[in-house]
Amino acid sequence: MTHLTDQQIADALGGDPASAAHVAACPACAAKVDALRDALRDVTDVDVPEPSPLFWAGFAARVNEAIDTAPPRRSWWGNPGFAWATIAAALLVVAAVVFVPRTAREPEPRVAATKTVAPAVTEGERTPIDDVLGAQPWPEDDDAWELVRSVAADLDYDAAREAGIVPRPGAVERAAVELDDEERAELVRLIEAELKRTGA
Amino acid sequence: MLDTDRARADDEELVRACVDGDRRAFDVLVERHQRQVYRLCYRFVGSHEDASELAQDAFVRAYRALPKFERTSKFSTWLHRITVNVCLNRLALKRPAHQTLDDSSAIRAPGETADAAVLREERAARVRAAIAQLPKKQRATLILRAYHDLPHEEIAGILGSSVGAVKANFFHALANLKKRLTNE
Repeated sequence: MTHLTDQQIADALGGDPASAAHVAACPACAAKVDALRDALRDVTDVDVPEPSPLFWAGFAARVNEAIDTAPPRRSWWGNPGFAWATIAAALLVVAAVVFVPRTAREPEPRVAATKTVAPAVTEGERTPIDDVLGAQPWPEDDDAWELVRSVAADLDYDAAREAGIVPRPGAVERAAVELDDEERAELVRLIEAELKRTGA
Repeated sequence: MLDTDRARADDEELVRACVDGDRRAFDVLVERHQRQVYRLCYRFVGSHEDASELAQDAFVRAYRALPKFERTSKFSTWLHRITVNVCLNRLALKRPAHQTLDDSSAIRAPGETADAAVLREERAARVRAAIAQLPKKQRATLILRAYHDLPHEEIAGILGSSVGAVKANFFHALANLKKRLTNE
């Protein structure tokens, strides 16, 4: 025997004669319908508390007041305020793209490729990284570079290595591969200078 | 239109009068449907404060939308649709308030003992909580079918669903409810 579908069971709950006839002859469907009828009875037993008569006496007046006082709702895209906000946001984005200095948006220049002149560093101010880079230049007003330089001044390479601050496997090779010709030539020059300096 | 005419007019005539600028005609429509709208809202949100606010909002929206009412359905169906949308929008923004026994007060029915009233109200609170956990469409279908006794076809018009979907939602709403109430 084919059983009732969900929709036919909904019909049976509403007293549809065709579904009711099936339910009368099918215990499985009858059990389903009875279970749902119990749930429906639980639902309909729950009533809404009736507000006080005073609530109803003033309801239409409150609706009228709301109609008169509340501004009509506008769709957000039709709201002039939203339109102006959108225009202002667009202008800000354009301004940011056009006027923010290029240096702020460009990636940090690779040291080897930089052509600017390094600020003079006296012998007393020299740090290990200065020694490694020799007279390599950096932007004079670059705070980030200054921070790296000051941190590097106290750098203990062995301690750093023990702390796990080491290049990831293949990082050096990857960096070398990514250098352009000019950078690669500069790297060779730096290595040669360092070898010569240490007498290796 | 005179007050006596308004009182006798059917909804369609009142809608026409209202669109023509007779504000008092809308008052009659409000008075005629306010209980149904309030009760529908209450079924969704479970508190008097929220229900009265939502019912008011539904009538304000209906008033503003009246010129666009195409009269292809009954005014009451259209008003129900607005009300359901207002309620569903509220539910999407705000979790329903946790309902305590005091919210609906265990008022004793004639001949009912105090204990029986408390038990009945506890049962009602469990059912309300179970209904509140139903998916939105199932919940709306159940409320319109069980409490407002609307036919499947009218519910389909209100919810913008097919009649088959309404029947399926009604079935699943009851099945889910049964499961939740049994598992407690």
